[in-house]
Amino acid sequence: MPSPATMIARLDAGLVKAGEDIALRRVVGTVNQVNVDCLGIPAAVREPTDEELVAGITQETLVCSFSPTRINRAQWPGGQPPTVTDDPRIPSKNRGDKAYVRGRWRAVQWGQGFYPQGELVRIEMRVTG
Amino acid sequence: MENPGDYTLASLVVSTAILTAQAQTPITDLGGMRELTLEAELLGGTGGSTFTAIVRTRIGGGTLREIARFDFTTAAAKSCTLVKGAAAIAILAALGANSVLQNFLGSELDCIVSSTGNYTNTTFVLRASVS
Repeated sequence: MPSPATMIARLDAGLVKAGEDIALRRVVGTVNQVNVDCLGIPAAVREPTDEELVAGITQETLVCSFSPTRINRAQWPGGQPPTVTDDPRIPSKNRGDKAYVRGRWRAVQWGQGFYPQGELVRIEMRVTG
Repeated sequence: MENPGDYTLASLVVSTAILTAQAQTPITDLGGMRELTLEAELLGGTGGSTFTAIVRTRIGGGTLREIARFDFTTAAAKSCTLVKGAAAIAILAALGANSVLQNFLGSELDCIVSSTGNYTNTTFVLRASVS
């Protein structure tokens, strides 16, 4: 089994060839909001498959896959309070995260990290809007 | 330096919950840092009494030392720039309100925040530009 570093490097190489840049935004606060952005993340972006549409995912949804390389380098989303227990690098609907994909900011509906051998090597995310 | 760029040291909602030197997770791998510009902003800032953010740094696994302190009562934005400069002996100690310690930049930065009073609709952000 390849090491996590090898898996990330392979994913990065593929995304350089076939990916498109997206951005992530963590929105902090409700009335006086602060945005914490991570720009220039190469990602594979696609529309939902037939099976996903049948399963109830709407047509305006986009599915994004990307590596943590850019996020780790930027140390996004920065310093977090001790109350944050989940991996803060994973986009989340509950946190109100947004993603800039194909020309506009869209709401994150779902995010999932994949941790073979305990290290984050890939993130998948669904956005809509 | 290793990883020059812009980082967010803290971004949080300040509420009625009293914060007592609450440490935010650190920004690491900043070896060779020679200049640090900080931008601290308290947005909203209504209903509360005091809000304090202290930036700390350390060399390797050493003790985190205070290098900048921002004090707020209501909404405001403040900044400062810290640099490595001429050699001089400095006392490493807790900082007074709205003060800095020059010439000491390690390889890691973090921020501790404290608040009193009942802040509502208030958000704090502390950004750092390192080079």
